[in-house]
Amino acid sequence: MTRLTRILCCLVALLCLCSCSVMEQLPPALQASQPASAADLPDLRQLRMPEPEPDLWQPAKTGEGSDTLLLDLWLDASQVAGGVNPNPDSIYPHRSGRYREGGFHYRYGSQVGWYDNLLKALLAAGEGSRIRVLRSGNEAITDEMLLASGLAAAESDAAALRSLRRDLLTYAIDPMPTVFDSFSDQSMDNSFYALYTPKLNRMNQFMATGGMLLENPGRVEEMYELLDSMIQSYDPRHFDETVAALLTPERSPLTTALDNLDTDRLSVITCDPLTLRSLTGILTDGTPISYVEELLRQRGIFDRGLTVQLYAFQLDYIGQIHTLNGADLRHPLIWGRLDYDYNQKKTYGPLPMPRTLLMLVIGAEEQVDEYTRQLESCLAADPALQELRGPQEGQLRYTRAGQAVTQEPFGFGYESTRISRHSVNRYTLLTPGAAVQVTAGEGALLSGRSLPTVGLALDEEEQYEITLSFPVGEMDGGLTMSAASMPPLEVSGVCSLVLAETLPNTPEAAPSAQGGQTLLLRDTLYRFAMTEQPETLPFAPAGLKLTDGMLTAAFTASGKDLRPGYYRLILRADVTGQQLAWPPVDWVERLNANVTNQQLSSWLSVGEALQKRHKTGGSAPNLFWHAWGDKPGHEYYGVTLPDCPPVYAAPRLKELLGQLQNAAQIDTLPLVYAQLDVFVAPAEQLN
Amino acid sequence: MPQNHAQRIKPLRLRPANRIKVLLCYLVCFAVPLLWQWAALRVLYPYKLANTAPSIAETLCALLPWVQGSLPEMAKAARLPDRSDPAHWAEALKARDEHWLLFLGACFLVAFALTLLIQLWWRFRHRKGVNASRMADKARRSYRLTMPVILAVNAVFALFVYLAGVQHIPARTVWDYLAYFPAYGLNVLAAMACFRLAAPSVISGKHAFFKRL
Repeated sequence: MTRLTRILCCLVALLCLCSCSVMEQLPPALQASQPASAADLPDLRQLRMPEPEPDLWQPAKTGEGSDTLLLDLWLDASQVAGGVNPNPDSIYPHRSGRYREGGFHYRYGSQVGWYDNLLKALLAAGEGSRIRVLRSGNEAITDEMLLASGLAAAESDAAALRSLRRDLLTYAIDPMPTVFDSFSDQSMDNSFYALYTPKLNRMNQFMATGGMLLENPGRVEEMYELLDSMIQSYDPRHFDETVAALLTPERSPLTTALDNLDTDRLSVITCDPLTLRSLTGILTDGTPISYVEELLRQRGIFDRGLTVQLYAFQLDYIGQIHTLNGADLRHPLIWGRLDYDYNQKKTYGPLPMPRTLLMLVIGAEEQVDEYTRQLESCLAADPALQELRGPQEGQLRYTRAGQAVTQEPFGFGYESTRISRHSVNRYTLLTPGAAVQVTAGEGALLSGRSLPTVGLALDEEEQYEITLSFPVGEMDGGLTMSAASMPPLEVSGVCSLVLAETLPNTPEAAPSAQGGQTLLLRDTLYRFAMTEQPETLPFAPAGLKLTDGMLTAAFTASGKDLRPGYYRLILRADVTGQQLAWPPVDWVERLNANVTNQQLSSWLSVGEALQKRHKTGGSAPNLFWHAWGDKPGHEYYGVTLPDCPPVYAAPRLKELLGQLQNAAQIDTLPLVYAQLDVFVAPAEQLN
Repeated sequence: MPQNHAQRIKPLRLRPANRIKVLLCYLVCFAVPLLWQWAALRVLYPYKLANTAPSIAETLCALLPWVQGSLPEMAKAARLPDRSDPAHWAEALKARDEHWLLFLGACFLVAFALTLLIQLWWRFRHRKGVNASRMADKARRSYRLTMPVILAVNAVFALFVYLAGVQHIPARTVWDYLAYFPAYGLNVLAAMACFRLAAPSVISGKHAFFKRL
């Protein structure tokens, strides 16, 4: 071996020795199997969280895909609304120098009830829309009739039957305002409001086009035949039997309209409150039922995000009211009459009386907003609605609660309230003024993320508390909150992407690290596992508090339970329907009237006495010149004269509003809903 | 010619030329640092030093502000974004890795090329001479001056690598030093080996300072 070879061998040996000594001093971090600590984690800012899901509870849109507003006007065609007395055996004449029919739609010379102006305003407010006028009367078109007529097949579903009924009840499509002129007349025989009026059948006007404007084109002739047979089959002499068959407690023009509503359209429903015979009942199995509420629920009005605007109009009325609160009066109540001078045998003019008409506007919120805005501007611009009407100088008096009331001239007016599914102020991190803070432990709010992200510095010894605060504004929906009645706070996980294991950084390790994301740092491969809806979370709710006008939701975590990575959390505090009080509607309290069965009985007794003592067509006694008379306590052949029934008010209005509100009620509603990411990483990566 | 005389002639013994040995010596000696650096960047770095690259482009931009062209672009690509977009973070870190490996490779190759050039310059300078003894003395003196130069060149590059990049790597381990610096030492050793073993024949000999292979 040469000298050079020996030198080289020594050099190599020296190098080997040096290498070995260096290897012995390798720091522990070189060992890939060592657990990760905050100091030797890769840059976790490379971790990618999935895009957040869209916010919850987006109301369904209606009328999508149609540029033109579709408007249905469901007009109450009940006999009460038209002031028509369908009973042929009545002491009052249908038409005379003093008495008239017509109801809201009365006519005397050129004077027509304000209802006519209201209907024209309803049309004008929908200018540019496709408007359909539907007649909702006391007549019933049952499923059996549709099947028997061949219009519907046995397998037809409820939607198809509703569609057929809407066609059958269609009075006009895209009408001119003059369409309502024929509704009012000095004689209401066979008018729009008469029971089984020939105007029930309007199919002949659609025949020319083969029913192209209807929902079921090509069926016009069958529809004509069905309606014609209904009209022909009615015999006024059997009025009592007909009424008994038709006017079941749950049926009214309002429920007919609600049952057959096309929820894709904006619907306007007029309703005489006296037609609401009964709003509640009991099923055969003993279960109580609220008819309007049940109908709204079945049709999913509020589930579809629709809004109901309830109007109460004060209108003028001259007519004969034959039904009240489900009781069919033998003799009608006269409400409003003509100014007749017996001495001169002359009629000077109408003396209408105020009555309340209800109206529902049902549709998507923005459609209802726009339509009601237009309607109210039309009403404000109508000069006829600015004048005063009614008797003057004590021409008409009646008794109410034992007190004589002299009717003064009155004006047109209206009140309204909105019923829609509760929308309490939902506090999210997008709420103006909302803030997230790390109130205990080291951490910070990280910016520039798709979701609000809280960064927590990884430290096993640390206890963290994260607080979300929201400035409390005025609550929608009448929700009252107090510090003592805070709903519980829940913390749930949407997903997590946390460190699951560490593997040696070898060519074989990368493919085996499936399910999640992997990051490399030096000789270690860090596998972060993605878990959807993790069952266990290291976070615990600390409660919801209301202090100094700030609503704070806090949750805590222990450092020893946290793992590096991301946690996507949902903080949620739900209020229940019971906590959401509807705001009081003052005008409903004012207009609502309660009619007891005892009162009904006394009024029915007077009717029986009238029937017994007076001939049909004869003049009514002075006691009954107007309404139910103005001499309470007087006796009429042994029957004490009761007070005037509250026909001027709106019986069952409060109950109706309650059912509308109950239908809109929701079991739970999120008061606080915050979705945020918690990023657990070494402190130097929290920026 | 008599037949017996022809039978006594020995067959020719072919020996590899000295220049082949010299070439092989160069190839072997200078391949070692090349291989070391290649292994460091291609094997050691991805599996032992992954994702530890400093932002060398930004450092160079700060050091050489007058440099235009792709360097500012590279610095921009490697800059960590203000908005914490994970995709941008990953891209920036990947760019840093690429730039760092490119920088290491470039530094080493320049140092390697300078070392080889200096060594070859010395070799070609001393390949001819009338008086071999004087030439050998002169070459030995020259060698003792050239080796420190080569050492200095490699040390400068190693220092530059350290100052520009390695010192910014957090939590450095032995693997960092093994990956980034030994190749410069091997450059020096390779040059030294070539000096002593692959010197020109005119100044080398079996028992001389410069050995003849």
